Amino acid sequence: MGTDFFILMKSELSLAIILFVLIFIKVFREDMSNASLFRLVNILLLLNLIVGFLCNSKGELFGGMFRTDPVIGFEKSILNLGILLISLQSLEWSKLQKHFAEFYMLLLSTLLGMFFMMSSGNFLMFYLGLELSTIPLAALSSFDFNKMKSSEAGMKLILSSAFSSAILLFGLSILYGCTGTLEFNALAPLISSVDHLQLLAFILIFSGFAFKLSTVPFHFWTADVYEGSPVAVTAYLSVVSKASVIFILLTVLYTVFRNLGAAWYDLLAILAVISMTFGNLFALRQDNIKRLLAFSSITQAAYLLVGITEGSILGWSSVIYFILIYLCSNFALFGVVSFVSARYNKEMIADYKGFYATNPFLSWVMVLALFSLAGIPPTAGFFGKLFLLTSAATKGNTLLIIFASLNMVASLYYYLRVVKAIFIDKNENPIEKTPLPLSLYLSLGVCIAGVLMLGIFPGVFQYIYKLF
Amino acid sequence: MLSATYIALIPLLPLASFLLIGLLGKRYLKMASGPIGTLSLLLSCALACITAFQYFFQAGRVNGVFEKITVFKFAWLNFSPNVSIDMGLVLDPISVMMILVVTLIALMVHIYSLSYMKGEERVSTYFSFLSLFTFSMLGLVLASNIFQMYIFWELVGLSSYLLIGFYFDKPSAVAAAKKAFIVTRFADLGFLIGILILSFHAETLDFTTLISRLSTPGSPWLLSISSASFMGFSLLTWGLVLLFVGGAGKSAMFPLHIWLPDAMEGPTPVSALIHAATMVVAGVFMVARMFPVYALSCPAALQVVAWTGAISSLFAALIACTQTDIKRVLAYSTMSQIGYMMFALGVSGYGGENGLGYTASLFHLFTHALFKALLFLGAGAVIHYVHSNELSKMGGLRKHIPITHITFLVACLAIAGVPPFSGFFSKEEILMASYQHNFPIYCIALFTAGLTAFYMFRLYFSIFWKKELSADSHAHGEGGFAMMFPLVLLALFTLGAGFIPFGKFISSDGLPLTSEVHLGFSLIPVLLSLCGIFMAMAFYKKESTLPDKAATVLGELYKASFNKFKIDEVWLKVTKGFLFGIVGRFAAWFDKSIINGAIDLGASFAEVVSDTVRMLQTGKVQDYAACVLAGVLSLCLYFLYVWM
Amino acid sequence: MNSLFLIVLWPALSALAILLCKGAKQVRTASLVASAIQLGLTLYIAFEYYTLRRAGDHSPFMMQSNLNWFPQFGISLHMGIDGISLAMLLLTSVVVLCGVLVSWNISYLTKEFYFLLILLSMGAYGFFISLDLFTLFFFLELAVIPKFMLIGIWGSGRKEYAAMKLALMLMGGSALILIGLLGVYFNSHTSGGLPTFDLLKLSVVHIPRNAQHILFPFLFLGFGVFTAIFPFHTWAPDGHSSAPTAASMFLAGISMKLGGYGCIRVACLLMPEAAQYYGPAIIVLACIAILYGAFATMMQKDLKYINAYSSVSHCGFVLLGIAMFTQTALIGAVMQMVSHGLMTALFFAVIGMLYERTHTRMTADMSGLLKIMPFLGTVFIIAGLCSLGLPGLSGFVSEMTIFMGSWQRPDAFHRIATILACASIVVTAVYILRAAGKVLMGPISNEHFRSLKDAAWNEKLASVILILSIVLIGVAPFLLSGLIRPGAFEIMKTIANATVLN
Repeated sequence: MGTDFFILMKSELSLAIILFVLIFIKVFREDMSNASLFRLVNILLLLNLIVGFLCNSKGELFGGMFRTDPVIGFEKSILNLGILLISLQSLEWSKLQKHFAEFYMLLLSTLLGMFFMMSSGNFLMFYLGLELSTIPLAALSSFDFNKMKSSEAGMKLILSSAFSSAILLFGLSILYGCTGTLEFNALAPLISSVDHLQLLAFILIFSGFAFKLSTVPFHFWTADVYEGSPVAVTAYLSVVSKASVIFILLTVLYTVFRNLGAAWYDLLAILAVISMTFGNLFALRQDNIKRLLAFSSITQAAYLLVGITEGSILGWSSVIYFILIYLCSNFALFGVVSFVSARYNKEMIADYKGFYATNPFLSWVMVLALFSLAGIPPTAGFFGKLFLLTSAATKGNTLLIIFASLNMVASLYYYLRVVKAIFIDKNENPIEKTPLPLSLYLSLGVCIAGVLMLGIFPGVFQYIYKLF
Repeated sequence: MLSATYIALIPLLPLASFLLIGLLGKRYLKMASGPIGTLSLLLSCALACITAFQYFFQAGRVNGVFEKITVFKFAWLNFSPNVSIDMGLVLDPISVMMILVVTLIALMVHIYSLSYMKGEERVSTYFSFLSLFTFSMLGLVLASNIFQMYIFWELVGLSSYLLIGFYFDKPSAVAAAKKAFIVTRFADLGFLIGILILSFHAETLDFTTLISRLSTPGSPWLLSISSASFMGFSLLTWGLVLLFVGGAGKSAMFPLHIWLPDAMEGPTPVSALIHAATMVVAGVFMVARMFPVYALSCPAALQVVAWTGAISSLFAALIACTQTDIKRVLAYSTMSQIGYMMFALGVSGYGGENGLGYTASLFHLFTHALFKALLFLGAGAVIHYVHSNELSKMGGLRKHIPITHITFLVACLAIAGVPPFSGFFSKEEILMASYQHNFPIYCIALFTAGLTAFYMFRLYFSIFWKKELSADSHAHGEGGFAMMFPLVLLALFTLGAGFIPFGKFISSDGLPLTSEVHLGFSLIPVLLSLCGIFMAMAFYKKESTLPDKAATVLGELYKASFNKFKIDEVWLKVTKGFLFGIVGRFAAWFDKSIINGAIDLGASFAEVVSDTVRMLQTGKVQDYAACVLAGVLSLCLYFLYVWM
Repeated sequence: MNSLFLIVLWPALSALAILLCKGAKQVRTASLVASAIQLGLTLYIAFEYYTLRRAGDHSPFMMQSNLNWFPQFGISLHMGIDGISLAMLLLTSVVVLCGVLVSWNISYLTKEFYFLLILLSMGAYGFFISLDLFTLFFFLELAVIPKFMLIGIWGSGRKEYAAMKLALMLMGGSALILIGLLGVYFNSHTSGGLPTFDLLKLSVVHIPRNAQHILFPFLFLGFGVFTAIFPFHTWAPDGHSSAPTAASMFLAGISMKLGGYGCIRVACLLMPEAAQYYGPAIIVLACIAILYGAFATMMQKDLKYINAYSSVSHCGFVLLGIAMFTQTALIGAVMQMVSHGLMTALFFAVIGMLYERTHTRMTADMSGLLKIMPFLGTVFIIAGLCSLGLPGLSGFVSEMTIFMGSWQRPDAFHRIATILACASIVVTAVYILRAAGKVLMGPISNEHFRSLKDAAWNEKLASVILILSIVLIGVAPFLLSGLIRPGAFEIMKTIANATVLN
């Protein structure tokens, strides 16, 4: 325990500090207005983001239970950025809330759980983090107290999570039975693809991950929960929560189960193909924009799986890069959707008809974000997606590439449906022209800058690649 | 001596006038466009005369043989190292003769048009098109490269299209222009493929090289092309026949003649220039140009030429006897006369006395150009006077338009082959050549000659005699000087041209060929012609019932001739009925229903599947859990049983 | 920094400038100036190219510049041109300039319109100068979505259906391309070393035969979709006919050329053995497209559909020329791309101008327009004549070059294919003359037409520029064919080497 401790756990500590600040406020300054709370928290989150970038070093704590390195540090920073953006976008929604501080508390504690999960060096620690991140999420999902759908979402999330946790735990226990340890470093050499039981354990554990990533057929909760939850929570679920799982999945696959490479390569490929195909099929005819985004997130996750199949640094950095881009594009989109939803209570695609006539700025933001999601140049999404596919291509699995490429076309259809509504369709009474709060401008600006710059300027990718 | 500069000016002057009038005419030079066009043609004609003089009397003959002189050429488009389209000018007896004919007739038509087209709103357009045509035709005859010929071949087709459709607000004119272009284009397809075949084996597109390679016995190129065969014929035969198909299209040979009568929708001077004297003989010119190859290497193809020509000449003459539109009669007579030229080439051999048909054919081309232009211009004057094309509206005009009458008569006598008019000499040579080489064709020719005399004088008598008109019915007189001058000049040429010793200048091998008129031989054709004339006189000099009676006697034959043997209808069936109606409609239907349908079906299929898949999303957590479990189980099963 | 970069940089800058403009007038002027400068820029590049060539630079690609972009993936900003790309660049800049001119009257969302148009052109410019497959693909896809927007927002008729169909089919095409590219990428390190997207490095790598046989169809068909290869052409008629004039010009004039260029530059160059293997199949498809397109055109009643289907037919010539694998045919194919680009742009421009005046595109509703609008009528006729391959205009020389080149393949299969292709020129003549006859000639059917005005200055300028280019190629084809020859020679050399290897 020395300065090491503080440096290695700085992200977690800084989150904890903000949490404490919030608790103090809740206890001693209950009369604090949402607006000033909003201001305060955002400043804190900005500081938190900055702290995340400072002195990232490699190290282990608690006998290998907790470990971190520059890559994990950067991954946490991405999530920090995400939480800041969500927070910036929730001003309009906060006006409707009585318990805004609780919202932040829940949000931050689930992030804290994710951080622990990402930094875990042992499956026990991993499970602890996972549960710490899941339970507050269920509370967050049902945060819109006056909406039935919101409560339903919370219920569904907690039930489904419990179920998947059970499967995961079952897998873990089998693994422990086989090997006698749950420590990542110790496990890796003990695992071999010949042992059927280990394979079974791997599949069960992987199913747990797949649930979190909402991969078909473990995805059914996604649409209902996304639709019911407050938009900020949906955004959080679709990006931050998924990203954290992907990050730890990378570690688990590339280190713990590296001897099972052939097995998980196939597993990833199969799940990716199924997910993107079905995700697209589900998405084709959705009318609710949040549901649409739910299925789009399933497809995007499938592309991440494609990238992971590469199995080395190239794939890893492509995945991180893609997540960063995905974060920017999805948050740009959710920023607009959450604003419109909070202000006008409109969430259908049809509501956006003629949007361009009244809100050109928001329209361009949405369209750029949609193009980025669809992987259209010059947006960063194009680069992200292509890098994932290119990584996979170095393995030469033609079938996987074919499916992935063709699915990009199918997904274009439903993204273009939204673009069509915004730009082409005529509407008698479109969503009115509205002045935007500065915070929204800020967050959308960051997102759009990311969407436009991350691809064309190679610096960020080089940075990620060099972290390893 | 022969200088490239001024020879190049012969085609370039009309081009310049086309560009000038075409671009600026409508706005700035409306009044001046006629004179500008005429002036450029005058210069061009003068240069052509000088060139002809120099070529025939000074520079052309080397060791007693007329040589091909390539005045200049440059590579215009390279295909492969050996094969390129060169743009160039080549002088040889036939091209020099042709530039004379083209510039002369064009000049006459220009002068004539100055008066004929006066008051026309789009007069500048008219003259620019005329210039374009003259340029293209000169480019065609001077071509040094077979592809260059094809290029200008297409361009004359274009000018013909534009001029036929000059009165474009008349639907019939538009249809006729379209028909002319498409039919000739169809024929040109043969020309193009012929070029492809020949050039591939001869490895050149240059006329001089091409001809020498393909007509020298035993040359490797000739061997390669004649040894390759397709459907039983050598590729040489195919190539030459296809080439001829192109020629037959332009020259309105049976069965590709259907465009020519309709082409009379154009202004009459245009008919005189393009559809009588110059463009339509391009096919003859082309066969003459390639003659050594036809005659020396592939007599079979020459047989095709001969019989096509013979059939066309008879066929057209038969139709001409019954038509009532003055210009259409002339059109069919043109077709018939070109048939003469064709079979003259077809029966000809190469070199010396054998080449009489060649000389005769081109001689006839020359004289025909003069008297047929004269006939058309005369007809133009008549139409100008009575404002109708129909024979029934005419009659007794001899006193009203005397100059036209006399010149028309001269031309009729010439075409009927009455001595000493020019047509007599050229026709005589053709008959002689066919008599010597192909007796059946000689018989056809003889019969056609009689028919020609009959229908021409049917025309003559119907216009100028038949009924008497009251003097005051048409107040205005004959056209002005500009219209009469070409008539008179051409009539003089028609009278004198027969005495030119044509064989001295133009023969198949470049050596002078002397031909004489044998009185004994000429007796039969001349008698036949006179018979035809007298018969026409009996039928048509006065109004009588004889023609109707004859028509009833002939019955079906008359009807068939009057309906032009229904060739148009057959073509219409093939194109409208089959190509457009069945193939075209099928393609459009296939595209709309099958291809587009497949795409749309794919889209709706995706939607249906999507709707079905969405049903899986029941909203019940227990169902979701079941799905998760099923997923896990199937993964386990897959990995434990399939994958291992 | 190389002057070639300016070719893509300038459109990007001008697109930004357009966004900053205020008012429709400023936007118009800015785009006009920008595209005129762009034309000047390409002309300058052409000048520089000739200077270098004359100075004895015989490298296959000139003015190369190579910047690392994403070295981990073997992606670089590698740009360079040969005669083929230069020809395409010139074509693009001419068509874009004219497209800006004919869109002068766009009043709805003017700024967005020009912005998208310039963005679209940037895609084409970038595509033609890229020597890296990734950047090439980047620019190819860049050009798809603006088309969707242009058709969807400013189009007419069934615009939404057409826009969606076009976007999805073109994206489908690029998905196929992507599969092919990734396959090539995977096979690019067979000789050791890192995999790469660099075209020049790839062109010396021998991709295994089996891989070629699998990948070639993806690449070729993918690019083929852009060229409207049969049976993936159905986006073209709907897309063209619904698009606003400038977008139609761009779609048919340039976008379809992206495909042809890609087929030559990527598919055939990188996989010569497979190219020869699949040659006959491509020829069959091309012949079907040529004839079938021509016959389908004959049955159309909407002018834009006529030109769209005829584009299918004309682009069939491009594919035919490519698949014949003779140098002459290849030169012809590229010439046909340029020629068709100009000609079809002119045709769409004039159709658009007529439509703006008469508010109909149905041939049956128009007649006698030549009398009322002599200028537009003449332009229409010239475009038609070029389409039917009249000597003196660009269509003739390119078609003839293809025919001559195709005829060099002496076996019966190729001969018959060539003859069928030749035969289509007759059908072309039929539908062009029918259309011209119906629309321009005959008596004036509608008295309202009498009050219509002939072309305005911008329309005249656009038409004159296009006609001059067409005539220049038609009268002096040696300029164009000479430009293309070295590039075609290089490609043919690769293909010939592959034949030797077999």
